[in-house]
Amino acid sequence: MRRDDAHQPTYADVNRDVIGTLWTPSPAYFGWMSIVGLILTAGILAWTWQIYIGMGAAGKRTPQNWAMYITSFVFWIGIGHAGTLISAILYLFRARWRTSIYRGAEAMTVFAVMTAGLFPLIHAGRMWFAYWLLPYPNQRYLWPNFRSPLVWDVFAISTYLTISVVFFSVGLLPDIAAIRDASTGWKRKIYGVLALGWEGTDRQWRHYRRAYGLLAALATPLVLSVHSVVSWDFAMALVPGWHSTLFAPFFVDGAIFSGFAMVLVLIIPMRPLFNLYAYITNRHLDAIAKLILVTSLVLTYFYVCEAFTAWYSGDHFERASLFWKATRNYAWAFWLQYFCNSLVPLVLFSRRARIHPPTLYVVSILVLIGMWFERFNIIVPGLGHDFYPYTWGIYYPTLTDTLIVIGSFAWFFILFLGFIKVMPSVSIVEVKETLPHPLKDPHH
Amino acid sequence: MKRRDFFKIVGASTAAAMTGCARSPEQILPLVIPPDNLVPGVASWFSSVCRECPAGCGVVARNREGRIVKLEGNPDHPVNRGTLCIRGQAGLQGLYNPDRVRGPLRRDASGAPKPVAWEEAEKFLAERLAALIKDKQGRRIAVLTQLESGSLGRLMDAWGGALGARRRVAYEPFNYEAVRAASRVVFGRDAIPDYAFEDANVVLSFGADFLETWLSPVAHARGFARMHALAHGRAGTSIHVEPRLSMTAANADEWIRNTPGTERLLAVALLKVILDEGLQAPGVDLAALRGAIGAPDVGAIARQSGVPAETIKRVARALAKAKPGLAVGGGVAVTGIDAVDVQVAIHLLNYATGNVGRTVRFGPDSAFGKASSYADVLALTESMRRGEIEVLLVVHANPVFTLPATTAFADALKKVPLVVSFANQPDETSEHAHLILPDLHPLESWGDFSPREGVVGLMQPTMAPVFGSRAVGDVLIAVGRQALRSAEGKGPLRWATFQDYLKEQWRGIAREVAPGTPFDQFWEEALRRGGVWRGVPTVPVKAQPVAMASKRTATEDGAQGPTLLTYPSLRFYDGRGANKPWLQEAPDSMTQVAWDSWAEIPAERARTLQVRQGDLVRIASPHGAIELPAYISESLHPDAVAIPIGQGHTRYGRYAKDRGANPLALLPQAPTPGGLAFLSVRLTLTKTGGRRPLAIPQATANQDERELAQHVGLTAARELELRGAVPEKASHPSMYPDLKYPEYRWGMTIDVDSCIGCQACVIACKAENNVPVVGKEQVAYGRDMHWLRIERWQEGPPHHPDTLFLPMLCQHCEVAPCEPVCPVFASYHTQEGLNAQVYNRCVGTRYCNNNCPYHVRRFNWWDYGSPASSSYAFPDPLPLQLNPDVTVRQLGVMEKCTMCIQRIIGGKDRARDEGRKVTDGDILTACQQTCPTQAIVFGNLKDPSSRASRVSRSPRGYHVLDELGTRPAITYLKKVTRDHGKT
Repeated sequence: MRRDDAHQPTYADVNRDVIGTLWTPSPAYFGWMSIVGLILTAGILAWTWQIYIGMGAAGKRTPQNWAMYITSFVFWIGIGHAGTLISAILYLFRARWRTSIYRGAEAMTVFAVMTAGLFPLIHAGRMWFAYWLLPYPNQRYLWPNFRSPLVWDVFAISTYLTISVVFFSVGLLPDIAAIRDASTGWKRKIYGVLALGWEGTDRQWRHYRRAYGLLAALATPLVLSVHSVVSWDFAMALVPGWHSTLFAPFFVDGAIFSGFAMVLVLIIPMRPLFNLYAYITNRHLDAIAKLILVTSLVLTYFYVCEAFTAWYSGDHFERASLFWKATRNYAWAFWLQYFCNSLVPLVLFSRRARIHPPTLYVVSILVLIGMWFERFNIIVPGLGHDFYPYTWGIYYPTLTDTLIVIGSFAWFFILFLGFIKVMPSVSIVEVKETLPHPLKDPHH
Repeated sequence: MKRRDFFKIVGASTAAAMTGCARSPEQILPLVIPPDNLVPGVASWFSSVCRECPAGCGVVARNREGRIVKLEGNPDHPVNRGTLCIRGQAGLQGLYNPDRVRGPLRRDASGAPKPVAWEEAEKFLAERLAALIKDKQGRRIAVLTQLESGSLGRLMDAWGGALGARRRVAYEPFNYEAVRAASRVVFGRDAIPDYAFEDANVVLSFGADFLETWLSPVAHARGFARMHALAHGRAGTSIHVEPRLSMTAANADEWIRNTPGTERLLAVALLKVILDEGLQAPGVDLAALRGAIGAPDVGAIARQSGVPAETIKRVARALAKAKPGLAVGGGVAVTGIDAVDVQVAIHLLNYATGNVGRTVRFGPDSAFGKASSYADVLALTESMRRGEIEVLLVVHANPVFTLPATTAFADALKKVPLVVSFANQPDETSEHAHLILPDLHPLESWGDFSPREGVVGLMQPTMAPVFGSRAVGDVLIAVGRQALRSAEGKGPLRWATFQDYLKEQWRGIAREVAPGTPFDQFWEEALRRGGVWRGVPTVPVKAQPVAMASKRTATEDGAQGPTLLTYPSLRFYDGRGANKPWLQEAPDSMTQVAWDSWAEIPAERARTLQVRQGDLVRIASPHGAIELPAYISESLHPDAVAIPIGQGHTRYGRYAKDRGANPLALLPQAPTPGGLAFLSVRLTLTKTGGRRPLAIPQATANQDERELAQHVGLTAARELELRGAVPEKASHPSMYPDLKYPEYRWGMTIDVDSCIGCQACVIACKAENNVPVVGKEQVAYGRDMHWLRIERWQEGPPHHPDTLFLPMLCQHCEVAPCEPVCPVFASYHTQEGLNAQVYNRCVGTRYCNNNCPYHVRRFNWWDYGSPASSSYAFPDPLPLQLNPDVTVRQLGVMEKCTMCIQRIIGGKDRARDEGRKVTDGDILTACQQTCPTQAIVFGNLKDPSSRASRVSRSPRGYHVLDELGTRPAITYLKKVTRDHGKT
């Protein structure tokens, strides 16, 4: 039953529609879960093989000591950013259109960071000693090297994951209570425990609002800081094309850009699947599309800056590196990035495109591809043609690292698919807030 | 290695060290009371002789707890003065080769080799010999050996005499008999003279690869460096004539690319110019010389050889005015049918310019002159084919591989009823042997070798035998006596062991060299010193300029197509090095190809054939055909195709198997006055359609204006030296205070001008630091583990480039980019200025190697160090070679050059024991120690008077990628280029 977008749902409709998404899954759902699960299994097997046989199983070499793992790491961290932006910054700015999409976006953030966090482990030559990056007391008085951007990463990502998870859980509380109230049997017990005794009292609401606002304020700087820190992995290094002060804003913008694309990829199918037309309206799509357009334009500006700086610096290494990226073995990836990230989003200048889900979907997928390749272009071709001509080289992916990277997508989607069946993917509470109160509105 | 094996070796070798080789019956248990000379953790050194080629360099072997872990040059030995070449450094992998024959084998009826007991094997051979002797058929016994210029050769001759065997054939694939023949013709002396490169002012080489394999490359390299280096404003000049840009050509100040086979014409043209311009040395018999060279037309020669007449004149003047100069020639690659004529012309050139007696010295003649001629080898082959040989003993020769296939030596072998091989590595010849009696490795043996008159290197067992081998001398004595049915102490083979024979021989030497000294003292001293050497006076020779024999051409008459240039490999020599993984993995200096063989095809021809690099090409001559991947060369003469000798083994162990092809299959067997004519066939090339990409670790030879390897003109360098100008150093302001070095700051200087690109340091480093071998695929994919690499950069026109060799290793930067990025301090700076890497702490993020602008860090992509791994790099008994002072790194950690920190610690310990500070010479890094041209200097930069400090202040000094502000501890010295011959 498709409702007109203009039709205003009631509180009861919201409860029914949203909690309705949690009822027994369809065979199609299980089908998707199995496919994703299989891919994930392949990825896990590939990782196991890599740990057993050595990093050589992945296609890395000198000079590409980093390749698809770090590419995917940066990509996934970036994906997470849109979620925090929607849930925290838009909350603080009281952008009310966020209410129906922020839950999905927040879940996306948590899962994206969980995915991203795997990659430093996958990437380490001796992942079993990866905990040495943590500053823990030990009898040898050994500490991590606080000058290393990788240690900054550890802090940035763990902070980000902690705040995201807490923020996400706090926001979920009233909704869990609503599910508890609507369910019976063992489900009621589980949701009862998870609801932490939420009763919807005035006092609870007051605390809840305060906590939520505080967390939103805490999360806000993270949107800027986390990806800045990640960008310093590159900017602090000497490699031509990496060593640039441009990187922090450049990465943050790219992160938001790709994050919104991922939001669209997730919520556009949710609309018909769960019949959420009343909550995820064209207005939402339009707003997100506009953000994608803006971030794309900013990104294009950064691209121009990057190329200009390389040329204007007169630095031989920078120029050679850029020229090589644009014209040699990896030229296809280089121009694919510009096509996907700078050209394709320009269709969003048209309002018709902005509210046309198939177009948006295609644009979003292309943006995600483009952003993955943007990071790829920084890392793989960037390292491939650096200072020392003797070691210049081409990286070839192997089955192992390809499976691991594809497996990371499966890991993300399996988490998300699981989430939409156990938690409300649209915030019941906040959607209700945007609706007219039944007691104050005699027409209903 | 198992613990028990370890004790076995410790026990046995200690016993050997005490008693001098005799094998101890108690090998199993460790010594309860260890002998005084065995201190665990302290190395003992034994001197011996390197037998990887007939140059006979002296070595000292480092023995740690009973096993040899490193070879170094013997500093006292007059041939090599402490340095070794790449093959010498890799000698250890012959000792510990996993494919070594572990005991005597006898082929049964089915043809499969079966282990037999030594007694049984010896008895079997003795009975066969006895039967022949009884029937007075001693002539049916033949002995084929490598060049043995010492006691073993004499013993074998005595043995042959006692049994009535044929005259021994001392077969060397590269015997330079053309030089010998020409000496006979011109100077009436049947010898190969000693060439004194260091005394020449101009060296003119006609294709003699004297820095690679020709005669005595280590000695020549030292001489060349001395001749060529800028010192006190003077620097010699080197001119090289060869169709291919060989490593020697690349080191020459002027490389003249001639049409293949035109060396004789050029030499004659030079003579003509010298005589015409009256530049000959005083006292030269002008008329005879003129008669000898006839009336060559310089213009015609210029057209034929592709060398402009102007160049010919210029070179002639340079050589004549050098006083003395030196003309050499006859590298294997350019040994054509007319090789003797070429050598005659070169001898005359030396005579005409007054070099004979000064830089060309008869007297200290080379041992190569004692090798049998190619014709002798063919005669033996013919006898075998005719069934005249009943028993053939093959001692360290592999003629099935090193003789042209057209000689059908393998077929001839099949006609011999009993072939006995003494090879300790399986090879193509021992494949045909009925009985294999593995000899000891030279490092396990007693022996001696005389590389030239007046120098006798003494070999002693440096460790107990790794496997159940027996010295060939011992076996021959025992078998001979059994065959002759004579008792020990009696008869023509009265000695108990070869060691006794050797000592007896040395009593003779002692009487001659040190008449007053008691023999035991003399013997001790000789053992310690590594032999005896004395100056041999130069013998005056009189030249008889004779007309050159004929109008012989270098190549076969009437043939068409590109000429085959086949040259000995710097790494494999005649192929005997191909079973050593270190050598396989070290990239060829010029092409940078590792692990494979290739056919170097000129770019023009490749374009017509539509062949790309790595495409398989079928190369056919009238005598055979092989298939090889193409290496496209811009610089090779368009009428040539060059193929290195050494690969293409079928039975030479796992590392040599199925690597490329043997170009000797293309050669004719016909003997020429100069022996085997290597340059004599013309080829047909066809593209096969297959591909086998080559493993080339160097991405490009173009520096892309990055000035990694720098050079300076001779005039400018001279001026800088005079002014003593210290080069401008870029200043890099820093927020951090300068680092403080309380005691030492280690640093290094590398003289790019001296580096000849021979790669000896690469293998020395590999041996010293337990660097694993990774295989062709990994090298091709940028995962080689060399801590030190020799880069070849080229500048100028691609068909005639200037070559610069740049040894690249960890620069131990003061502001090291690798250090701040490591999250766990695995990479850190020591108080002595080393950039250290803590393997145990490394997590393997590889950030350091991304950030290292030189990319000298090496990551353990696979588990090279653990025996259970499929990538294990040290199959038994290679682990015996591992340096106990250095960790074998594990999977997933980064490693790199440590500046031989174990040697630094050792040097500091010794200095502390003596209550002083470390000074120059206390610590030599492995690369520095072996460098034949001494291009590398290591030392304490904190001490302004240390040699490293002084050299680093040279006006030629620079840092690689200085503009990055990394402040490397390694200062490079710019190559000094000559304007000579350049437009």
